Amino acid sequence: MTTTPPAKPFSLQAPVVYVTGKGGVGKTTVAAAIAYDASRRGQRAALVEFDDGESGARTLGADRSHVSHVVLEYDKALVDTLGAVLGAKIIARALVSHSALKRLISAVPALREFAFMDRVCALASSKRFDRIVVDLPASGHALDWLRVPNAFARFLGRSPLGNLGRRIHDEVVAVGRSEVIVVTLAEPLVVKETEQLCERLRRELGTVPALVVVNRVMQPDPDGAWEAVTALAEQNPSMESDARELMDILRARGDQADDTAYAFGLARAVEARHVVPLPESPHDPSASEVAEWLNRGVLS
Amino acid sequence: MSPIDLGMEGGGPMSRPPPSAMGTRLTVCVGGGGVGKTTTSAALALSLARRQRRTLVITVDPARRLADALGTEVGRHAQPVMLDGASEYLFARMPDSRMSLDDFVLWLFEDPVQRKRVMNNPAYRELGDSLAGVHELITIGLLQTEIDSGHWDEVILDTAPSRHALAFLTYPTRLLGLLEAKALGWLAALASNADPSQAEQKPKTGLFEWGRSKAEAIMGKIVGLEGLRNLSALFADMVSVRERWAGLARRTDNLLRNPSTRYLIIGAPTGGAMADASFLVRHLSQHGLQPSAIVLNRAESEPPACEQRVFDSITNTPPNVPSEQRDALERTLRAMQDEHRLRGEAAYRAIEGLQAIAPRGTSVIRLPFVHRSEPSAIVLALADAWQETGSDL
Repeated sequence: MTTTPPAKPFSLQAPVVYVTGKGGVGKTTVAAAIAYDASRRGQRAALVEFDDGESGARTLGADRSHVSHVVLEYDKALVDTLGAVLGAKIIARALVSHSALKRLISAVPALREFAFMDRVCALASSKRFDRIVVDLPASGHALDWLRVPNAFARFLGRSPLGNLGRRIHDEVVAVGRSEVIVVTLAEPLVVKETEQLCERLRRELGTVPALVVVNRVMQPDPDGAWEAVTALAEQNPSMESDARELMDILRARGDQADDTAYAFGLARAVEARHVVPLPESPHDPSASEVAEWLNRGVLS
Repeated sequence: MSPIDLGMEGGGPMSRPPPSAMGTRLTVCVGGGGVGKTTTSAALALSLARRQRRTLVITVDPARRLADALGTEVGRHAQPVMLDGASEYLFARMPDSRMSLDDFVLWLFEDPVQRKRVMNNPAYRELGDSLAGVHELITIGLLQTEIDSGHWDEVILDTAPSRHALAFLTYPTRLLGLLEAKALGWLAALASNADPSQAEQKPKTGLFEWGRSKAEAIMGKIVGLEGLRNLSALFADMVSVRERWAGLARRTDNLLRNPSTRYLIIGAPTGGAMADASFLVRHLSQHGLQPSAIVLNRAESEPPACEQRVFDSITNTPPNVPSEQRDALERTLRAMQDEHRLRGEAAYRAIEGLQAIAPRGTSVIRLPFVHRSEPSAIVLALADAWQETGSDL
């Protein structure tokens, strides 16, 4: 059976928080909830998304007014970044609107990720927000994003872009400046991918997740149901095949409890500061609902 | 001649089926994250293999656990899949992306000196994995290799779980545009002229030359001398194999627009997955393509009949067990009924929503919620469900 950790509210220390996990686990929902929670505590909070703010807008819903929803677009981000390096936006705009150069720039490795990370850094430096929650892409890709500033610093050396990469890394990626929240589900495939993600976070960035969120956790079935259906299969021959089929289903439900326990074990193994389960919900939960669950820190 | 083919080092091709007489049909599965796209693709592949179609399913960057479930492994080559009814007809190819990128470079550059230079280039080493378009490139390379092999009746491509997975549709065209851009040749030429500050002193003729030297100076200012040298060396190497790129891009473009190629959108009854599905329908149509079907996965229909029968049985003739055990079972069954009802309602709303967005001629197919946790059991159950839908899929 699931061992639920003692309830304690989570706390985040660094101003910039990255949220990641396998696709479809509820990253945006958790990111929106963290931003909402910060704003409810009186902090100036931003939820940052890239390219497309549709899912963040949907989750924030009516709670949107509390949180600044920042949707970064690549074209703009690139002009801003190049403009900062060159000292004038107008040159940057001319560069990226030149038809041949535009194609060329589109081929520079990882410039897209770099420009987005630079904008996160600019938001942090602007001091407009106390908490910036960044909704990163899915697992493997998210790591690429976080590694890119330092990779630029390494291969571009002391050039302006290399220096900028170093600054971005020091200000919004380095340990102590940012925190990573990993969202997972109590499902075998998802937990496995989460494990790989946490290993890579530690190996490649020296980072431990501040919080592991195990999303959509079902209430375990009450003890005794298994014994009752086993007895039914043995005592009532006409019910045996139905009882055995039900046992398969109960076993699958029990597996979910095992997977939940496994996810908690994983969170402890990677020394995540907090691990919080969120309940399965029949509808798509809102940011404020999820924020409340996160603070409760235990299964409802 | 195919990209990412390692005939020499790999034993893969030996175990494959003989060439297909009828040509290969491609099915591209797209969908947002968390809809069960990989298991659904595998199940579709299995149901085709059961009809003795020689089938290959390609999944880039899979979870290792899925490979285990299919009785196969993550690796460079097509591996036979060990599942009931799959015998000799079902294969899977599950490469990881770094591996495939290196293989792609091996294919692209025939000259060993050039290969080595590219792989040692700091720009490639540091950023190779996160290079813009790399995932698209790998997908295309793998796909073309397998189609060219002529081994398959069916190839199922399980794309990355993202709204932007369709980026690979336009990648061949974008690639061609890039390779024909004057600027690429110009940057490549910088490899031999590594000091951009000198560019200003060269004799200049005309506006283009003037603009060019300015641009060189600006690029040098952004990435620095060393960076410019590495980047331009990388581009120079890429330009030298322009024809290989271009040939690949053209063939892939033909393949993706071939009328026999099918697109399936996979969804699930959640708000996010529904929004993704509708985004993907619009996105496909912007490219002049239409999905063959929209598949609603995890659509609860009739709850398993055993649940109600067990419920009736323990109510009418209680089994001889302590009453708290009987209560526990009863409470569990009630909780399951509630879950079925909620999931059933969500599935109903989702089907209505999907029918509303499905273009004329696109069918909406529902696959059941599978009450199992093991991936292999889910794949088997979904394959049965595919067959029961009776559609030509």
